[in-house]
Amino acid sequence: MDDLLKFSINLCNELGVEWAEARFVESNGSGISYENNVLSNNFIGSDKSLYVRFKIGNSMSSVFINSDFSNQFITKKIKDQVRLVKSVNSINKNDIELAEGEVNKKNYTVKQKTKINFSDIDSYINRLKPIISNLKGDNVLNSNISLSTNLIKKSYMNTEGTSINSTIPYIDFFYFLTCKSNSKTAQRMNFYNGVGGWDIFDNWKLDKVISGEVDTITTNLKTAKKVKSGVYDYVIGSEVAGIMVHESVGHPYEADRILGRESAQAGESFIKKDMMGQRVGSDYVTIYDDPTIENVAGYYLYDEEGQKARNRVLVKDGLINEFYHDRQTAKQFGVKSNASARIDNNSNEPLIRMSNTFVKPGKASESSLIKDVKKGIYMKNFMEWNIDDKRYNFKAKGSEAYLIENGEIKHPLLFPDLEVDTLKLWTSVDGVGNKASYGLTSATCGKGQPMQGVPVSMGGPSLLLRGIKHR
Amino acid sequence: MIQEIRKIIEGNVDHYVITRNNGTSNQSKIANNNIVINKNWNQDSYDVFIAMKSGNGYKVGNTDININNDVNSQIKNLINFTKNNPVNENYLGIYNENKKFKEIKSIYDPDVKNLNVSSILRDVIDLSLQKGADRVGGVLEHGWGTVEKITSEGFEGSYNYSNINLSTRIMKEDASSHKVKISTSKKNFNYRPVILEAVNEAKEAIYPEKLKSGKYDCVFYPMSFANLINEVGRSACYDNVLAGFSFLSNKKDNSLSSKNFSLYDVGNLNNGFGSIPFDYEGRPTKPTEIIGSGILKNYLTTTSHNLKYDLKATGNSNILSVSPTNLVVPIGKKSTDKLISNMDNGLIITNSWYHRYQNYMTGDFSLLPRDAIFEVKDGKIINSVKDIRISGNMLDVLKNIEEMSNKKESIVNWESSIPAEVPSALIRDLDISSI
Repeated sequence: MDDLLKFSINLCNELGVEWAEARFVESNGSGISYENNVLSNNFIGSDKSLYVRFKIGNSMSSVFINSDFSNQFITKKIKDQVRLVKSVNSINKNDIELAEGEVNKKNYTVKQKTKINFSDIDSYINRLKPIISNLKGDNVLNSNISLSTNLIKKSYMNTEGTSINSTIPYIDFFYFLTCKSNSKTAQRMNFYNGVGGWDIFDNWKLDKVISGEVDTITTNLKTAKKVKSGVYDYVIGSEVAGIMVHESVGHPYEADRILGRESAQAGESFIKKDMMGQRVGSDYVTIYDDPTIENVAGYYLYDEEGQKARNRVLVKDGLINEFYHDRQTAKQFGVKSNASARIDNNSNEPLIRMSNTFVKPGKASESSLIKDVKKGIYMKNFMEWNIDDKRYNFKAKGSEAYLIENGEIKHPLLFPDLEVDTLKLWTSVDGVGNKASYGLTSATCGKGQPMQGVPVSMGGPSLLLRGIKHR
Repeated sequence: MIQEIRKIIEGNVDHYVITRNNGTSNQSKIANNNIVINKNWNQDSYDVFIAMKSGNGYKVGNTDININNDVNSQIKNLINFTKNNPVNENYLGIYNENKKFKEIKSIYDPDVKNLNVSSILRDVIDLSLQKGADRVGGVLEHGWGTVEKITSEGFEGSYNYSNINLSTRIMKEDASSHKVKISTSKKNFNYRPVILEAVNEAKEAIYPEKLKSGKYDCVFYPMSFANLINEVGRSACYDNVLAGFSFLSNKKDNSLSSKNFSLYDVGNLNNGFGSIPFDYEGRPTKPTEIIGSGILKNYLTTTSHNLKYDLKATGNSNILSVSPTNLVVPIGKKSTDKLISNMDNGLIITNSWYHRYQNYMTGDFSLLPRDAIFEVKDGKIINSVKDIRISGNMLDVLKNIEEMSNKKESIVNWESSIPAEVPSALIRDLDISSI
């Protein structure tokens, strides 16, 4: 593995590149899924691949190989790309430059308390059985459950002398349910992604979580009422805070979006380069993104450019504090990379991505936030959501939600909207719950072309939002 | 290697499908009038599916073979893994009929390898800027490869494929337009008109205004209509129907739309970006009428769906899931301009994204129009608008499709991964919210 990386780096040096990095990834995994309580799919597999990225002239280039690792094949492919880059270099008016990077040498492995054996299908089935047994009632019309694990071993080198080796086990669980009550149906979809061994999965206690959700959904469907048009205060749960923070703070703070590099794919940002320090939320709002939190979906200690990860404070007391950077955008902003370059698999270029994004907890209990509302909506979780390509026009449609009157929870509501622009959303925050919550809401976040889905987590305490209009 | 894998498997399992996909693809990414990266992928993958009889059913397993590891032990691993699984009640068998398939010659052009990437990139950027764009972004992709397949039922087949894809987003002041040009051959890759159209559209869309929330008729241009059609295509896949991911569940033979609207999946479409001569099981592909003159005629299926639910097998199998190929909507009689002139209070939607469901089964959804959006009053464009969302129900959307334009385009884009050949469409009475 190291020989291949050294060969690739030396070859790039011989070909006169200004900077190069090489990564070898070996993955092993398996998974199983159930549809309507019967086994529907399973797989077991392994993969090895080499990725080399280099800068020559004023352009970048990359080569991905998963088959022939002979020196001849690697040489041919890299030489072909060097030729191509030289022919397109004259098109570019601007040089691509990298901010000065750290030279790091590190090996790290995430330990598994209860080790995953990819061939032991019983260890997967036995973990899903208690969940499935709770989904056999008449109130569940459809159910889909999948559990997969993947052990990713990465070796990274660059021409500056950085060398990082990591071994990280990932666990991904997904469920999608259609619940019914009389003639009405409601659906619920959620992801649990973690980093570690089976103990991580077991701690989620998903049989109880999911059967509880089924009971609540079917009970609420019987009595839920539509929301009347008007202006409401909202108390939102951790899951809704998570999607808000991910879509309307995390994404627009990605510096490649701000600079227009993702224009034709995941879009740009309403945030501009010169907005650092501007107010985007109330004093209550402080938002972190921390890749170093152990066992949660977005965990890593070094990014895909070999830079050391740290907590990023995106918003501090309502003011823009920091954007996400890789070495390219860091150069353009005149800052140091904050280690935000990530990949979904070895075939793709590193892009600026979130990791574990969450709102800093405050001092209030959720019940005291509710008590402080005369006419409002408590939105615990959501199903449908979307946002525009500048990350300004946000919507989440509540799944489990209730009317609040005079500080008390009343009847369930039928799928209320939270449809509001990003600035109004965060400046309306008038209270922050005291319960830290990160890692329990996770997702696969999409960006780039081809689409790259990286594991992330998101969340926050309960939030109180004032004066939101419901159509 | 494919024969070596067969030798190891044969005699140990009841059904198998071995598929090799050996391909090269390339992408140059444009951002802010610069080429920011040139990517090259070289993939050679072997996918193996096996089924083993157990009682009245089959145990099944699937793996990707890593040719740099011991293949023998990987296959043994797969067999052991499969033996330890429960019977898969959703699997009943694979295609075992006529082994012949018809080549689709138009899906491979060896000349794609010789695409002059730097010349096209330079032209895309120069032409966009000369015509008035402020910034251009996008990707130019081209690739080629070979798929080989053998199955336990005696099928042996292979085909070559090639593709070129240009996606460009033109930015002009506070407006933008996004267009794509896709082709399976170099000679049909006539991208310049697409650039001119995108620049003009972006220029016309500058200074967008806020819109009043309410009901509007909408003309969806091919890009945005392709996004809606992708949702219908996905919903027509029978695995999605069974899983609760479909608003077409229990709707077979129901009238869903006006007689003017039909939708086909055409696996063997000439020049089709998604064309394949045979599906994962080796079943020859063909046109399937999903919606005919407004009525839901067929779901897209696998052999197991055919055997278990008595549905026509359509050549869209991935064994345990279903994949649409090319979604084709026949054209109408009127020009797009004529459709626009038929709106008193309307919008033109040129692109969209983030189509999400509150309930896939009922079809309740919302999406966000993206790039240029135009407001139409009494049949005439009066200005461009911004910051709107379409909320509604997909069955209502289908019901309200009034007519299609007389010209169609081939679309694959960020939001529409299933290739679509679609015209513009007039859809009445959509609920638009404005923040």
